[in-house]
Amino acid sequence: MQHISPFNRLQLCLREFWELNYKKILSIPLVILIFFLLFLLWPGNYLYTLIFNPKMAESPGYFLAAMESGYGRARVIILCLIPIFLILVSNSYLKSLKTSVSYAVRPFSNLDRVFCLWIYALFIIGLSIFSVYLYDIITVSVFKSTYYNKTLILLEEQGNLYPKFQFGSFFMPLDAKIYFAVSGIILLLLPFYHLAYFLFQKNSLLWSVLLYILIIVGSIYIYVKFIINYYFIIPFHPVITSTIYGVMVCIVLALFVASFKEKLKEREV
Amino acid sequence: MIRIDNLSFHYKKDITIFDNISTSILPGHIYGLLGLNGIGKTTLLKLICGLLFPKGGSINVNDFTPSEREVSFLSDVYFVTDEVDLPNWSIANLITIYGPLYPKFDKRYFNEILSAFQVDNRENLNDLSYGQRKKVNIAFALATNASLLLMDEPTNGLDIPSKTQFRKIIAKHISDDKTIIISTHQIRDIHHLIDHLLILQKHHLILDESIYELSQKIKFQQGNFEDALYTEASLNGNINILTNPNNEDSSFDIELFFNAIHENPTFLQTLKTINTHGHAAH
Repeated sequence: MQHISPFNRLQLCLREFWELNYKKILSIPLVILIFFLLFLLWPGNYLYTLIFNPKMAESPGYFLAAMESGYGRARVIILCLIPIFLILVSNSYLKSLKTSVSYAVRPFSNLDRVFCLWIYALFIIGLSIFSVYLYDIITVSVFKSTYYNKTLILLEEQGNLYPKFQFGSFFMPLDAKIYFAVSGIILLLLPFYHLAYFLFQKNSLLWSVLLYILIIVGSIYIYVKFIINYYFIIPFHPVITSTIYGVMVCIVLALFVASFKEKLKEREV
Repeated sequence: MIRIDNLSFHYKKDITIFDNISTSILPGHIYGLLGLNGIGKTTLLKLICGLLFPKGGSINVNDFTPSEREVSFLSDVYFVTDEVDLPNWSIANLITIYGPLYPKFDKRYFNEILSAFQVDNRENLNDLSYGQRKKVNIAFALATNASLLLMDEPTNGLDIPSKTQFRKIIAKHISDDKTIIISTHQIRDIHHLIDHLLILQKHHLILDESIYELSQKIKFQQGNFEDALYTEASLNGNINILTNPNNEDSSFDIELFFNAIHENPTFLQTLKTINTHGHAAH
């Protein structure tokens, strides 16, 4: 009896996930595009005003204000859709793992399931960030090629010869740091969500969020009460301190992932 | 071989499902698992394939502990559930993705069974009726050539010709290295297939005997008999269960036999006192 290799099994596990969710995954760039367009055409935004109130759009005051800060923080809000995508894609899979007999007796190992969920989570995060990045770059490029010179001329007329465009301007793409921060936060929450799905029978999302908040509040309390208030705390070099925190976070995350794998093993269907 | 030793199980502590069940299930046989609704037939099947964990005792399937759900164990077991929860893919996709997980999977055999069931293998599972989906699941289960096949109400939803096909296919499928356990209420659909009976009642396995052994003890006959162990009136007159001292051949009526056990509490005890030559032991 020739058993399939673990690598091929993982491939099949990934294929299974893909076949179950490819429509949702492929629609992510489209949904992000729709949100981008919605944002750009939102009442009060420059393009909306240009279409429905061209006179106002041409007034220098409004035009400059729109170009300098009209892009706003909406792109960050769009980035916040990523956890929703992750939940929408993995929710049905997690539910099947938890309740479906045919999924539970399928000859995949628990590690295959964990790897599969993580690989797709990383893929979805990557795809979403790439989509936001792409649409952001396109929007900025279009605005730069269309309105940049006009903006510079208007600013020169106002005496601003060396304008600096800040975050929020139509001429400034999102900073890479924001992408990293959002990805980091999602990756911190994800193992907890996976585990919580198996810890709580009902309303897993609500309970997991509440428990996560409780953990954060507890951590802050411990940090403030026992670390910040202790005057004799050993003053480590900032790099060492951040490394220690990083390692601690990694340990906690690894514990979550390991607990999730154990919960998969212990589940009864 | 499946060895069940002192198996106890409950969902809630105060509601016992199984209390110290022990049996050995041998390869090469088709076992019929019978019992009233809610008695724990599906639960027993789930315990055997590792979906539930025993609260007491142990289960051993071909030297594996099912609750550990090792990949090698799962790739040699298939559970056909009453409700078909296959994904909404094309049949071709189902074979491509799940087929390689079972080392003995035979695609040609799968297509043969599907054509016997008159299901087009180019179809999408989403477009099939409940009965057709069930046929696909049964075809897949058989094509895995798994050593242990667990079937929960396999004929539910099948049309009449398909039930006949099902019987033929199962009869052809069983071999010395395979075990099939069928849990069903539609016993007339499969009663010629079953060669061993497992009957659950009140948290216990009250009967674990082959049809051959039972046929040596009892026979089924129409008419009026004063010494009948059990009698049931039918449109064609009374049908009786009688002792079989002369080892006469009769078609074993599992439904009547089950009714006898269920309706007449002393029937089973009387049966136990009869030896394999149909004589009452003294």
